[in-house]
Amino acid sequence: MVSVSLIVVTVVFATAVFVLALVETAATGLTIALVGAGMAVVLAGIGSSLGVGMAGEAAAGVVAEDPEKFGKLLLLQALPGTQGIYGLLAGFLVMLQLGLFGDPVDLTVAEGTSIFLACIPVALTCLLSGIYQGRVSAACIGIVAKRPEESGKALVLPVMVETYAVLGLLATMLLIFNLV
Amino acid sequence: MDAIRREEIDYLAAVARIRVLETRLLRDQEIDRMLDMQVADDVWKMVRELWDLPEEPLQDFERVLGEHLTGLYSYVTSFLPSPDVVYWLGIRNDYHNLKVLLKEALLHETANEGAFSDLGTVSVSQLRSQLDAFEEVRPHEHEPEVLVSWQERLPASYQQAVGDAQERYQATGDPQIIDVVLDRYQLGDSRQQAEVLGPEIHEMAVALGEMANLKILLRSNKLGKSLQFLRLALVEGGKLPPYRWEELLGRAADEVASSLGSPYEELIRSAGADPGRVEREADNFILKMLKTSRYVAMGPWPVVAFLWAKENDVRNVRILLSGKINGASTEAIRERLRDTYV
Repeated sequence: MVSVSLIVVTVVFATAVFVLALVETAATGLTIALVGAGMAVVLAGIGSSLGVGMAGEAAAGVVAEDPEKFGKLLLLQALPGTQGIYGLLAGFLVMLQLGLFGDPVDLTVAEGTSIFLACIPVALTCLLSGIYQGRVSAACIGIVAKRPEESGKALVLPVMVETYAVLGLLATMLLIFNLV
Repeated sequence: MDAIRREEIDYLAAVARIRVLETRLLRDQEIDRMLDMQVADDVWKMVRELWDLPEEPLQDFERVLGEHLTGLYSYVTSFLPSPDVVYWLGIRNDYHNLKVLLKEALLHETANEGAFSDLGTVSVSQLRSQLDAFEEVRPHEHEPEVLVSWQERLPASYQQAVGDAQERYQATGDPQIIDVVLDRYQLGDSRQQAEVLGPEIHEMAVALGEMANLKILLRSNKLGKSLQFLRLALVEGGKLPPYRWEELLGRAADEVASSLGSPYEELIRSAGADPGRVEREADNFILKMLKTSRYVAMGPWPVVAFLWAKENDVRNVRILLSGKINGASTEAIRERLRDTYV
């Protein structure tokens, strides 16, 4: 899938350039940390929207022929949506740790960069797992279409992809809690 | 046909719909039930119920099945991201219609309406007028395509096939030569156009050519046809080069089987020397190939497999109904039936 590699390369390159620019322009540590939080929310959101979109396209095809399967398909379509929530959760944790809802913490550029880097695991794992979970969900929608009695098995396969988004979130959370 | 291959992901929704439609294909148990029925009317009633066909009398089954297939083709085309694969499947029907029209013109006979296929890429009436204007339009063939309206002339690939078939018929006076020449052009044309449709469809097109070569070789051996005839009929571009087939002319079926090896060997051994059974085994071979599409989640391959499987079902129903109408035994009908896709 060329488009996925293209997205990842573009995102990593753009982020690196952006961080370098921030450091060069003597931005505060807080700004750099917030860019990390934003990146977690945005990239995970992109992964989820692509995944949910793909699964939704396949589900719409089945509903067009057999509307009774809507309930079973809804769950399969919703699965790639969790990555967006993990990204938001990571972003929220960063903001909470930085005291943005009360008194903002004063961060050095080095500390800000550390928080930025801590956001990378959840951002990238959610971006990729969202897309690939969408593909698996779309393929599993074929199982529900052909053998509705096997929809339980169809649900297990995309859930396996979820593991890696959860691991990414876990890594980011541990890093944030230990940094600030 | 678009030269650019669409992304497989564009077929997500279409393949999901195909998966639902596949559940309505005939199963072995349903075929067995039809075979056990004594009266053709009961078989027809069951088919009508399974496929939701209009309540038309048994004598109109050919027309109703034809309309059902045409309706399904246009329905599937309506939800595909690109009609490329449906056009590709329609090529063989265009050539079939060209055969009927060419024989009409050369043998001065009027063909039955039922002899034409409605599943071609060009309508029969348009093909007829293009063929009528063939001689007048031919002098322009060296000019760029845009200079002559596409409506007035045959597509370039068909033009060459028709010209070749006409010349060979005039030289030999044998109407069978029209079928042989147009079949060869059709399989070559299909294989060429399949190149942009993905590896599975291309492999299928190659296999169709190979099966045609096998059938023509076994038929030539049975009827004692000449090497010249075989050379004229052999489709190029397959896995086996034409000379391998030519070497086997005049050999016994057993010898051909052991010389060709797998997968032809199994096919020839299970079919014997009976041309009808070879035809059936060749169809089953292609169907087996199509079954790999069941593990493919996106792309045009499952669409082609479904449409081919549906045509296979319609063919089976036709065999069943004609067999029952003519009072053939259950075993005789079963021998002619193709495998099911589901």
